[in-house]
Amino acid sequence: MQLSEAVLPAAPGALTLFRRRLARDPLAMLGLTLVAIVVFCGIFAPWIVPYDPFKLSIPDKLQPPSLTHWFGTDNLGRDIFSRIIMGSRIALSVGISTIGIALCIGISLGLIAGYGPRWLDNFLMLLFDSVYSFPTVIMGLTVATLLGASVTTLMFVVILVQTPAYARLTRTATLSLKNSEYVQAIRSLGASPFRIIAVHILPNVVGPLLIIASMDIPSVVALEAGLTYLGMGIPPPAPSWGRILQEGYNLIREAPWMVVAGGIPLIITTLGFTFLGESLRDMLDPRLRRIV
Amino acid sequence: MLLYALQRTGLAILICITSMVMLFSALKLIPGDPATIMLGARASAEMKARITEELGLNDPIPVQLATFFGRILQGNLGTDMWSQRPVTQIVLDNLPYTLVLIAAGLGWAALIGIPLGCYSAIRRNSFIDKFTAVISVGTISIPSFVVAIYLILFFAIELGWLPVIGAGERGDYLDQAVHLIMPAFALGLGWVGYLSRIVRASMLEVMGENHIRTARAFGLPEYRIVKSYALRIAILPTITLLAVAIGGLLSSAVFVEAIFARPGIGKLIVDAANMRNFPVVQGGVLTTVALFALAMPISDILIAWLDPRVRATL
Amino acid sequence: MSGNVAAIRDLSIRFDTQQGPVYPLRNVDVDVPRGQIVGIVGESGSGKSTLALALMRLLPGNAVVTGGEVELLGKDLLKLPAEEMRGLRGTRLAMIFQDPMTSLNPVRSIGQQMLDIQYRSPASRAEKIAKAADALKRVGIPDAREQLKRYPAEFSGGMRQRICIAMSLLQKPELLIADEITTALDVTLEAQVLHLLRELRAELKGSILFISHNLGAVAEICDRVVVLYAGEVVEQGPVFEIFDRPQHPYTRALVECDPARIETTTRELPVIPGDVPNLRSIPRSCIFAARCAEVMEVCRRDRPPPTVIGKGHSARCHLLEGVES
Repeated sequence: MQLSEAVLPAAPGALTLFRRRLARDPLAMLGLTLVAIVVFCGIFAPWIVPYDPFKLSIPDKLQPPSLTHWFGTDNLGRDIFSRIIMGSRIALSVGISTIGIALCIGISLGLIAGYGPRWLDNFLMLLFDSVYSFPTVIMGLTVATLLGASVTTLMFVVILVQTPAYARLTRTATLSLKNSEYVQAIRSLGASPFRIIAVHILPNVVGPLLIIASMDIPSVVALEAGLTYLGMGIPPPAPSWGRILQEGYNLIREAPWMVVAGGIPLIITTLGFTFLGESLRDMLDPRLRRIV
Repeated sequence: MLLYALQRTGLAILICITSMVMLFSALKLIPGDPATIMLGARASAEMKARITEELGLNDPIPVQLATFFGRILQGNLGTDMWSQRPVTQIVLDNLPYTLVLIAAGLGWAALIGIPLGCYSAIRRNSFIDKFTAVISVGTISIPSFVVAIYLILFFAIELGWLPVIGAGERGDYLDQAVHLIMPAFALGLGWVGYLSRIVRASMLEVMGENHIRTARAFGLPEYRIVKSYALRIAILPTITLLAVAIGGLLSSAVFVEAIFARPGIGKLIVDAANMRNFPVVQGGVLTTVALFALAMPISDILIAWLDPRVRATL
Repeated sequence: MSGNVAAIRDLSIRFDTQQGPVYPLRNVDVDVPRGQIVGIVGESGSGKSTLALALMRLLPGNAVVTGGEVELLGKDLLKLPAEEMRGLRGTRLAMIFQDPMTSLNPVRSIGQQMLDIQYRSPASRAEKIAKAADALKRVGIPDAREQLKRYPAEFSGGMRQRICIAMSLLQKPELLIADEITTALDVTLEAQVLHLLRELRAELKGSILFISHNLGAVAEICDRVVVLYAGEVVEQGPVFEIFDRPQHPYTRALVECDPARIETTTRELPVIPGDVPNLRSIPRSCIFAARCAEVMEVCRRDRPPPTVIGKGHSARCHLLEGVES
């Protein structure tokens, strides 16, 4: 692995490659645009919403979409468009923070499993396999039954579900690096395990994992919305997309615009991140394949 | 071969056991009265006393664990404190609905996705190939519950063509089939794209292998090469994929069942979770974990049976 | 020409790759007389397999025939409709490939595959099975009927190559193309397979195009030899002429380098200096000029035409001009 790296000709920078790819690939461009819209809404939500997403206004309840209320209003007279914009904040913050925490835990456990003693590796792998054998939503429902539905529960579930995947990838990469001639040579020179992990293994693992993790954002966003829809996630009145869908579903005959509006941001987010992620992965595939 | 099957099944059982221990220890690790955690705050004192007695919650922990395993081995998943029915019975009543839903969803997805993938591989860069590539990325990423809700809105509410709620009259197969259409469509939609992509990729690989050239050198007709020589091999990775994906399918089934108010394991767990009825949740969860854990060895054995190369190495 | 099963005239092929065009075969003339074994020798990359695939019309999709004619079994191969071409394959024309480990379909039993290739025959299933078993027996596979039920993964490489040979002989082809069929085998197996080929030729009365870089094997079984170098035929002729009186400097070097011919113990193995030229840009000179020990001024300027030296023996070399017999 190290050899091939040495032989590789000086490649153009990742950014240049990315820009070139975007220009050629309309889907990647579409993905980038959609992601940019969602991220923009997430960051600037409080300043760009046309109405207060929490303000009740019973006289305006269940208004169909119009020029004043683009996506109509819900049964409490709240402006749905504003709630959806605000919802991107929840979706992104839950998604990014949980994936970040899961990455940290997963990488640590993966390094331990890959570099540590054999029995510990076997034990951790069994544990990962067992966690993995709970279907994600069902795991979420179980934890919610035990702990009660709350944002903390939701985040705990997502972290629990995502960690084994990252730990497994880290472990595989660590094992192959550990047995590479180059690390063996360093070890024979007397480098401490800590130094080998920190200097020679970790940097090789983190990059590809970050890409893989960023591709998990849409599924985590969907999981959050889904669990909230089932009543296990973020409690009202927070304008989670899953909540808007659930409230809309109860009024699907009276106010069909609510479910339509609730689904659109989920479709935009998942499509955007997936299209972008796909072409990112295509671009970086040889590297990903080599390390994972 | 037998040894291999036993090994794979053994691993699956080990995973089931670990999962149970995890469930069990989760209950013990959470601070508070286990009976209250299991049944929620609304449960009466009498119900709490009964569950404490039934599960031996006052016994030492190793004894509790042993009883727990002993009962599960006997197929006894406990009693639903609210309805007084055995959980095993409740689960068995609901399981067929979920299995039918998954089979129908995967079935139509395979019927469309596999030929589509095949065609895309053979007519590479054709319009259908490019179209499939874009559509499949889209359908894979859109969550199944959004699809389900939009389907209801369009076909049931706006057009009024299909029924929204339930699984149909018992014994009336036509009615049940009509009730299955939308849930199965929602569940399978992502899988059309997924399967077509996997089949396309592995088909491309197989069509480049030497034995395909040999078959051509013997003048075999192209459709026969594709059908009996290439597809037979290209289909193998999808079997493993399906086994890995059972978890995802069960997750989607939870949403689909909840949205269409269709009986099944998923709806059972959602309803029980909303009531904080832990014995039922636990019964449903253990069943799904067992389904998932067993899917892996079944697919491994299936592949060993279908692929002489794997068989020869056993 | 009726004495030839295949006659290739002035055949040139181009591959369009992402890095630009490659010219693997240029102005190739080869005759395969009925009932003879014709050997094609040359280093790796000299175009041997491309030639074989061109005869089968199984060249990869990026290949373009830029010139020449191929007459195969009395038909104009390059103008034959695809369906008719497919009709020739596996009946009058068969090919055995280099790597027996990957040449058989891994998920169909030997029997299924041998039945499949008889799909055109009107015979009953039982007759077809009997025929398949006979073919296996013929190539020395014991207990043939039982073996038909087994899968390729259950056989060793040597056995698989025998199975491939048996398959190719099922329909008694008039031309059998054997592409490096002994390369993947060890020495004992190689001797057995060569022996088999010779017997089969006597039996089938068909022709064989035997592609190899093993000169020993070629000398042993071939009637005629064609020497390919970097996509050009540099010399061809009867086998004893080529081995006893090689005329082209490349053939001479090749014959001298053959390990089987080095009789005295030497410390250094003979080598041909230099590398096979890059086939992206073809020089106007003699293709071997850059490596030739006897290179002359004219060699670097003009490409030599084929010179006839003896009966059925010709070579492309300026040294031979005017030597015509």
